Amino acid sequence: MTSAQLLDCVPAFAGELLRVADEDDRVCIVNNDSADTHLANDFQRGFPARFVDVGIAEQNMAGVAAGLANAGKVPFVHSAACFLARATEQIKNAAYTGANVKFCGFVSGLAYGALGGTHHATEDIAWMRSIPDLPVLCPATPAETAAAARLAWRHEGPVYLRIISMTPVPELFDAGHEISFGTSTQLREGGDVTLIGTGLATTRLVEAAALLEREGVRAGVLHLHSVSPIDEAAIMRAARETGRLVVAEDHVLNGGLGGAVSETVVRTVPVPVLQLGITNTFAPIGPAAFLHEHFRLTGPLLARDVRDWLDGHERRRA
Amino acid sequence: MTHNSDPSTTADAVEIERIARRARALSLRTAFHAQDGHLGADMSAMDILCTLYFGVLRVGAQDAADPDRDRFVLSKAHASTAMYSVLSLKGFIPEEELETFGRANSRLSTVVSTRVPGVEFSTGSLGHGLPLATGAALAGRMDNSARRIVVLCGDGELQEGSNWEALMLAGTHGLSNLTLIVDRNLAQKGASTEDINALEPLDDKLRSFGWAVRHIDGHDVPDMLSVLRSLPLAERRPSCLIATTVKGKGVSFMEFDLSWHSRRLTRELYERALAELDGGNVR
Repeated sequence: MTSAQLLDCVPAFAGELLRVADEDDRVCIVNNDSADTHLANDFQRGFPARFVDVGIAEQNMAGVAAGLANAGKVPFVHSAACFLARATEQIKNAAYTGANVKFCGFVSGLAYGALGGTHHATEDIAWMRSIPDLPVLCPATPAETAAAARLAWRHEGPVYLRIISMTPVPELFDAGHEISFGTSTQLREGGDVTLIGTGLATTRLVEAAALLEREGVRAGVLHLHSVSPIDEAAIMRAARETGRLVVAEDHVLNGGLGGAVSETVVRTVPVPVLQLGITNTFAPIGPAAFLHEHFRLTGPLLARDVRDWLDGHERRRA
Repeated sequence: MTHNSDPSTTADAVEIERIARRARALSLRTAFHAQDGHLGADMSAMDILCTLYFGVLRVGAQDAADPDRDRFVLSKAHASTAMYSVLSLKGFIPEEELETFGRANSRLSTVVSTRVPGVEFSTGSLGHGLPLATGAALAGRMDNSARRIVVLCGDGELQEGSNWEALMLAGTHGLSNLTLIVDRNLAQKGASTEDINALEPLDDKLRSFGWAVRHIDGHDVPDMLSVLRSLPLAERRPSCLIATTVKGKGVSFMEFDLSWHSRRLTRELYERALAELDGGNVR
């Protein structure tokens, strides 16, 4: 189901967490004075005894969550993704001990816009995917964000969930959409190139692929909701079948999804990989939409960069 | 609420002092054979650990998964040979396993981890234990459980800011099921805590954060037993016991010698130390 209507992912997440909490009284929220920002107010009202606000103290927040998990709780840690970074070591320790904590990074990527580099979460994928035994999920739409919340809840162990906030996206999936770790979704088949994305970038690549089709370029779109573990089989298939890969992400190029995909193909089916995203620089000041333009993360600009790159290669014949 | 009644948690002070001598000897043997470990920290914390495990805490190998068991968090996780010695005496791990300490494929990492039965949290990266304990205490309150949470921090590690985040939160919530014991040996790796980044006046700081505070002698087992058995120090407040201790306590040549933070034992010194501990009977 593709709809032109743009939707916010956070209400879908908050709604799913309420449903899960109704079903499972172990579910709780640990947050850093941010209930409002991440739409956790309904949870706070509905389950006040299961809502912990640690204040502005992220290292403590991660530790408190692991302590709650030790007593059998299933804590969902709510924070802007950028501030989880200061608890990276505590998150690593949670993974080391298999603590049943769900780290939810809201306002990911460039969404905080003009607040600037301190607030942009554009390195989190690199940090999180470098931690062993910490699955990393980057859902692309509201339905998939709800599915990711459900998957995280069912999984006994830590999870990092990268959530799109403040940036409405088109819905690409049905309401009952389910995901699992280490799998992916082929959103579109195409023989000339495969566009690979995760989270917000996937929705932009879907748009780019449609624009490319009009120009005679058959671009497949592969969505990797699970960045770690990653769907190596799907990446290898795309490399074999289309010979060229483009990876886009609202994240710095070093260590992100492009790195993860490249690590896979260089070992398995070596093909050229174009990495699009935030070049290794801090963003200028401006609203998120401006920053997406600046880093060429819109459908039309991604389409143009893909086409220019392919023009530099010999176009594959059907 | 019922608790497991491990008879060894009701030992008297004389018995605990005997156990502590044996645990010290086991620690020394473990560190000597591995040529590893942090004996200064082990000896400093040993009387506190033995008082907790044999006189106070409701934790036992038979009931390791009991949700209402008490929780102990060793935040100063470098005192690992002390912890492992106590856990072996409590029946969590076989005593022979202590010989694998730090070796290839051993469960016994040289700072404690949850791979070891009886260890609730992997710590050792300093400043993690108090937040973990605070979360466990909040969970106890959610569950309306009588379980108690005790965390042992080194004084040096209180320099980590994460502790102060947790101290504020525990004070705000009045977590009377939470007890912090500070192993106040005044020494960190290189020098006195007061010369590097001073903690004093520690008691005033903690009180101002909403904690009830009491000074104890961390080697006076009878006094610690009576204090720990009558917690909390105050209603609706978390308790902090600032335990004056001696780094290297119990082995004359280690006491007050900072070099024993992580120094290796020669065979001669090992024999001397064992002799001081009534022979230890662990060779």
